[in-house]
Amino acid sequence: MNSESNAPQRLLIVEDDVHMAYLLGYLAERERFTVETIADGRKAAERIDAGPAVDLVLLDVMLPYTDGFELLARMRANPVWKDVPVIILTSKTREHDAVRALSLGADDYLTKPFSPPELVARIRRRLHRPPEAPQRPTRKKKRTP
Amino acid sequence: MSLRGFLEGIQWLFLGYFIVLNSIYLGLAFTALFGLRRYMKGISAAERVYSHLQMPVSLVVPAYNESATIATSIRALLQLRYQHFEVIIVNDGSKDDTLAVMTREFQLQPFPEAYRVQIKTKPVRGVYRSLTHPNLRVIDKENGGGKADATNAGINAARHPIFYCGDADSVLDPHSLEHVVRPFLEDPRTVACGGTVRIINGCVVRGGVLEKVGLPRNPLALVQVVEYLRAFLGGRLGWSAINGMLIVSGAFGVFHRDTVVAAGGFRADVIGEDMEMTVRLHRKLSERGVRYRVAFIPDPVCWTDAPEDLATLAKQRKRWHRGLAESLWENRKLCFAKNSGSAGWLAFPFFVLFELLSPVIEVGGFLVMGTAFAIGMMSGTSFLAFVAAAFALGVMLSTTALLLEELSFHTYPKARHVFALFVVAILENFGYRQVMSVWKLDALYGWLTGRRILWGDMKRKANWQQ
Amino acid sequence: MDLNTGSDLVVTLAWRSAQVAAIAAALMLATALIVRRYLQWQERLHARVIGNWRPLLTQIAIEEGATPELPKLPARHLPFLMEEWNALHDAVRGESSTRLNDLALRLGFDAAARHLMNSREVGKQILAIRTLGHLRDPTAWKSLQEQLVSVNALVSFYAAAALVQIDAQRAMPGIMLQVAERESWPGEAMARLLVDAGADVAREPIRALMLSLAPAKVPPLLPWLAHVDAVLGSEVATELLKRHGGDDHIVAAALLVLLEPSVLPDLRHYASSADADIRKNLALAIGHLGDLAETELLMQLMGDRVWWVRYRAAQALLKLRGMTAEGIEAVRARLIDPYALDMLKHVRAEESLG
Repeated sequence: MNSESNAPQRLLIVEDDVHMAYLLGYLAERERFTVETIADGRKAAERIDAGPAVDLVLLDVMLPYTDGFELLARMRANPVWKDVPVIILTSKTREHDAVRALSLGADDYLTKPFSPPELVARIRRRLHRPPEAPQRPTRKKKRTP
Repeated sequence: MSLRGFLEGIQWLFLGYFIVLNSIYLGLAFTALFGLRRYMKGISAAERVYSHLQMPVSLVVPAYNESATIATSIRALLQLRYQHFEVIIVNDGSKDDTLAVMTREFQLQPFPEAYRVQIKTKPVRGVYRSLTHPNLRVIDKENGGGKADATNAGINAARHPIFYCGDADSVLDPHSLEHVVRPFLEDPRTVACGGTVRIINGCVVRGGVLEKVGLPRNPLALVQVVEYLRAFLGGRLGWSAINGMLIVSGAFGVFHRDTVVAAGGFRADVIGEDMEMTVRLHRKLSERGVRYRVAFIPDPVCWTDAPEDLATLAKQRKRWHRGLAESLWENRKLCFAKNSGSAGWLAFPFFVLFELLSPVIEVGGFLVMGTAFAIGMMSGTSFLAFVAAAFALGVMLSTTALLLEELSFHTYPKARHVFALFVVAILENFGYRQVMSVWKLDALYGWLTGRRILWGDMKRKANWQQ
Repeated sequence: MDLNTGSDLVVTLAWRSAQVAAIAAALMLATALIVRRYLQWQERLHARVIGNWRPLLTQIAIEEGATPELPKLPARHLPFLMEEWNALHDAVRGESSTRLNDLALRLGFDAAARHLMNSREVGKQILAIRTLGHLRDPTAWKSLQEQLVSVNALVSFYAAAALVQIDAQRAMPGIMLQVAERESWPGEAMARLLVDAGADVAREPIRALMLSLAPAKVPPLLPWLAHVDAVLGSEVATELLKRHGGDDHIVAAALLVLLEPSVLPDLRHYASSADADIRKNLALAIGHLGDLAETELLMQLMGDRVWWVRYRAAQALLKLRGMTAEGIEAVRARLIDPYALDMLKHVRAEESLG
């Protein structure tokens, strides 16, 4: 599907609900990603500051300690993470969250409960371009789906 | 009256007192047991419904000469698992560099806060706001008036409908705010809420956050673990079930801001200002005929440092008992007052008879009977019978608390912890409780004779920090 | 002569109570240890059931035509599996839900849930209700209706959610009755429930309810119902202001959900209301909807005796449509009241901090 290189792409899941995290991880592994899961905002912030960037992030909004918005802003302010595609997960009643997330630089959003094939399709679309391509078009505000 | 008649009277009084006292405690424990079972059963379902519900909370924390630990304490508060809260540190005219440390660590900026004085306090010198954490503010005020005055200054600056007040060195459970706002959400008439306080000695704490629960090695601290279990799970939970929670612990209390402001804030002229506040809320609200609730949540929400040497412990307990005496005396009109419900009709008289005056009866009873035994007026068997009854009832009460703990939170992970606590529950009746009674008696005497209490800074063992 | 003979009774009583207490203490310790063992056993069992089933459930939920071999399911495993199934169900929709339901029917969840419904444990009842809701089992309608009026707020809330899942339209009247009568449903959870039902299904019942409720019940509900459909909330609020313009609580609540700038001129007189909440909310409403025409009014409110009114008014001033830095400066120059000036300084400082 995406990159023709053999190295598996890396996906970071930031989600505090164990069931959701397991489900997302399962889906991602089926898509042959190397999956990393973090369950709280503080650890995620540490990971952003310290570690190498990944190819795509699935980010929950309601997180303990530091919420998804703050993490998103943190990524967008970090040269290593600023172009990593981020898909926001939010609950249906909080769709205004999605608006805020998109304006903060998220690439896409998904409401919970979600449809697994839809999420896979969105992930694939985000990663159509090989991540190691030298000049990826800068993505700022993207249309909502 | 003959000496014999007198002695027999004392025996009846002593035994009757113990039986009544323990029956009440046991009754409370069972009330607590049922309340607890209901609470635990509902809790996971409630969590799903309430998890997205938030009631904004102000955390008001006075700090006096705490430059060594203040940064860690504040970081720990800022890391609580809650979305909507503010931290207000009141620098109570510290003589050390507490303010400088905070300014450095959190990039404090002087801020032209439109500060409103609703409760009169010592002058406020300035308000600061953190650049790193928008929800952190520091009120710098002149010293004087103790913790009460500092807390009042914090309340003046607090913006949210409810506030927590506590010590800078207490460790809050990451979920404490989620738990403690629930009574306020469920019942808008709630004006105060207490939570279970546990002993932190023996636990592993990093960066002000509790990482691993354990039992202290120090025997004195270990006894206090059982004591706290008994006091919180047995007593308070039972009282709260009948809306008779007379006292919210100083280490962890959450109050409805406007109600506290209307009641005049914390009093600087009493020793246990937090204790006094709850009793006063009961009195004022029932005087006004307002329907209200003082709640208690059994969840372990706060971990506090227990004194590990006798001198410090003595000081603490004398202060507590004197605080109790003042709180009850200052609000004596609550007793049997119209509309005061179980707070005025049950809890208040109970606290007077069985908490405030308990040392008189306990120490007195032992003294009289010990003397009678010593001078041969009482046989060894009779004497033994009374001692055995007093001890066995005490042990039973402590085990009830252990059982409650096991049925609910089982905070302590290993079976050997339960055994250790059980052994302590037996042993505390041989010496520890009697010493407590003597200290309380001393405090009571001091209060009656108007002796100034030795304030002294409580010696803290801070090795769990870091 | 032994002096103790006279007090035999009291001594015997002392011995007896000592014995009873000692035995009770021993029994309680034993119970504590048994409870601990039991809980540990339950925990291990739970972990084992989850370990076995979580991957299978997930696979069934997301892979079309997956037919993994299922492990045996003893009755005592069932509640754990049901919890897990419900949690997964909460996370997914579409085809995945259908597949999870097929599996549940194969495992007999429907019968098991109906049985659990009669449990005396609230936790089990709720598990049953959630299961029947996710199964969209119409035969459960009647018993769910019964649970809807349960004294336990949580049970009734979950019953409402299940009824919405089965047939939102049909569930509305019963739910609206509960919304009106119960004060114990958490507002945001209720809003979530109605959002799940769909704004088009919930809109008219909400409007009818809000306009027929006793005035005292309106204020706490209004913000949440407006959350379900903001335009509806604004329309209802406008209507409520017309009907109950003298009810302080209603006015204060209504001011917060208005979306229509054209109503502002009719509301200006609330700036002199005796109720501070109304004055504060008026300032908020002006902040959302107002333009430069409201400057004078805000300047008046910035001198209010209540801190929050001054604060919100000053914030609103900065947010007015068409307000510029020069405009603010001009207002500042005209302000005389030191309180108003302080507050302007405060909110500008706040704004510059971000």
